Amino acid sequence: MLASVYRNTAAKSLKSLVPKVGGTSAVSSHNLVARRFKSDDAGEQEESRQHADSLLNIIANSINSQTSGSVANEQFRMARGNFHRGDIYKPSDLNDSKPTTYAPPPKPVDQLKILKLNPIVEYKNATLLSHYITPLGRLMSREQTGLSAKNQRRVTKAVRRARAMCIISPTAKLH
Amino acid sequence: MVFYELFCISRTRLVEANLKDLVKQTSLIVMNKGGVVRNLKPLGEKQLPYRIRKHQEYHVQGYQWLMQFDANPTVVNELNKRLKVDPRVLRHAVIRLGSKLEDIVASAEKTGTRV
Repeated sequence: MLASVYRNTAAKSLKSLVPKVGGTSAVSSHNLVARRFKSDDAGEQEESRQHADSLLNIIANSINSQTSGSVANEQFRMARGNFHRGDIYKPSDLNDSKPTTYAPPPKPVDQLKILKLNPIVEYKNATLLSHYITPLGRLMSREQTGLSAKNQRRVTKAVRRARAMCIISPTAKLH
Repeated sequence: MVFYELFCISRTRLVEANLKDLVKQTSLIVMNKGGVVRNLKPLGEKQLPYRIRKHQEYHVQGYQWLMQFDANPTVVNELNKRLKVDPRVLRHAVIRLGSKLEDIVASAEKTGTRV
């Protein structure tokens, strides 16, 4: 209630400062000048009007925030957890749309272990080994393959054997 | 007895008789030393992933074949010596598959290769 009163009085006082469009003597007395620079004048008035509006908004908002029991504060309290007077919050606290914690990345699964395949025996199988090399023919790291340490070693050995035996290209992934 | 596998890449466009002779000779090396040849498998003529130089020649294609056998480890040495010198062979590798038949067979079933 009080806030609205303050707001209105502030607005009124500011509005008196803004010159009205198509009014006052300053514009009409100098006709030639006014006609030539009419667009500029109108633009200036518009600009100043907008400036005033923004000022009003700023003042209105500051008035709102100063009063303790205002609607804005109530909303803030509801939004996310409990906010108390003097608390410091960041914009993301007021935003319920995004979660603050991210889901942990999925645990890597060793495919060869599940399938019970021995990669060393599959050194001839270019199709199988090509899953563990990059498009340029380089071996993938364990982070990329998701294999256990043991199987990663065996796959490395199988790939190097296949390269030596002219089954896989060392510079490309063909199969 | 240990299960071995000889993976061999021989020259393309060998006369059939010549190729048969090569395979037969390698099998005889194993058998004469008391080994057992389990399987002989042709893998076909293929474009090699990179150019090979062997016996003073460049090769871009090769005929791949496989021989699976049980033998003593001493037989492997003999095989390697003979194949290294043979002009029909481009690449060869004797790989130890394992000591147990079950492991090898189970793997083959999953990947669709015939043992």
